[in-house]
Amino acid sequence: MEVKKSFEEINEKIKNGTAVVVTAEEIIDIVKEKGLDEATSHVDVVTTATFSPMCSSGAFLNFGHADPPIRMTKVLLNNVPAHAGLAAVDAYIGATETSFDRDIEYGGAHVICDLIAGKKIHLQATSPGTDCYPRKKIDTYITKDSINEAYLFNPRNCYQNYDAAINTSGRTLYTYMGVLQPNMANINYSTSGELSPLLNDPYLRTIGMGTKIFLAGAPGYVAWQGTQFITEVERGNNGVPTTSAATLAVIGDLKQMSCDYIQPAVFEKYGTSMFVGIGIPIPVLDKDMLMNLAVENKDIYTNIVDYSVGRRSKPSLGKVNYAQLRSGMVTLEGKQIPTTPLSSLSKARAIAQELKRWILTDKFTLQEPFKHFNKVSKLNTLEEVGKGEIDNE
Amino acid sequence: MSKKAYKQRIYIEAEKCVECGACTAVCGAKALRLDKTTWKLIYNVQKCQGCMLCVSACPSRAIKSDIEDLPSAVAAAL
Repeated sequence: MEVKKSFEEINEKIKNGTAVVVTAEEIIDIVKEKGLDEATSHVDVVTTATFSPMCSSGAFLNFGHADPPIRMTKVLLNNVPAHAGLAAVDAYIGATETSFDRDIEYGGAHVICDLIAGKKIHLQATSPGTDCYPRKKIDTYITKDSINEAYLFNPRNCYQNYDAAINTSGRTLYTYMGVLQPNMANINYSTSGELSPLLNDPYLRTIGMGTKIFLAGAPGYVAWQGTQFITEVERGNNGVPTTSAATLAVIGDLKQMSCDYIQPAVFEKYGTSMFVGIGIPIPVLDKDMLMNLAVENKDIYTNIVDYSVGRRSKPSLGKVNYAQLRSGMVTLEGKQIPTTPLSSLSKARAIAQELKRWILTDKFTLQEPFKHFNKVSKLNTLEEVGKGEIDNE
Repeated sequence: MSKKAYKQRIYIEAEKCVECGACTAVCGAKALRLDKTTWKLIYNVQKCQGCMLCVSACPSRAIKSDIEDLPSAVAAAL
């Protein structure tokens, strides 16, 4: 009889300490050894993880009220501007914001990580002053413990696949995909492949609003679909997208996070970003689910895209699988080209193991999504039009 | 501060390095590479040509370029 398990049944096993939990790398050999039927019965949860640069990240902060109070309209944190177009003492610090004095070498990501590390942050804020908020200026220091809420809210993380980058031009390119040497001298890619969360659940059967996750060392949640979310894309026979597809908006308590799992990043001549560590536990509901979870790098494909073309659509020079990319060398147009990851596999492995420990030791249970994401077949583009030309259809 | 390796060409701050591999993309001498089993960064000082391209290519700013950047205790020991 075919094995079927519910979230509730798996959570009961977690609570009574009988759940079998393995990582998305470990499950591959287990399935080879036991076969799909026996492995489905044996394993309850598979942990997935990624540790990659994720620019679309940031944190909401509430500083608490000064006396006399101020309605902050301009906010600087260690000389990095935070968006203060919110209520009086709320602000959002974006990871890619850069500082006035150190430019890209110290940005929003650094402020966020310094807060997590417990360091003092210099807060400068100004205001025009109002009857209810008379103060016009404040210059002080904060820590994560001195302020009220501090939570990471990342609008687009955890990309389900991402194109690899190459440069066919004669000059070096400095990009968010790292340094691309001229004349196709290197290929950079950025995913943890067979360990990556959304590549293990290609149709997001178990991941949606409310899914409990590991976010930078703290418990977090999937809050919404990520921006630039698209589902109706080209897929391989195993259902795995062969190009950028789903994304996740995630949320979690910054005060509980650890710098072991989140780090600022600076990409030369490009800007500031942030390495974000995310782990997602996926329940083995049935054989079909396990088949997805046993996906291997050799069966996950992506495009090699030419970043020397400075247009929205960049040409693909071909498809390649992650086993080839992980091998360190790819043959393209008769040329042997070295490959480089930007996503840290050693960190992703550490996250998958830590999440496994949470489930086994701390009884971290799984949350069935409150709502699954709708299918999206097209991403809109930004066009330059006159006011009367906007199509309301 | 612990270090993975250092000599006068470069040294790597272990606390900052996330083992992403971005530095290996610019290392023509193959002095920096990721171990294919552990995916940890390996620095071979014998192969290092001192071009310093890795210093600015490192997103974590974990690679330091010269003796003046060394912590004083380490520099004093050289």
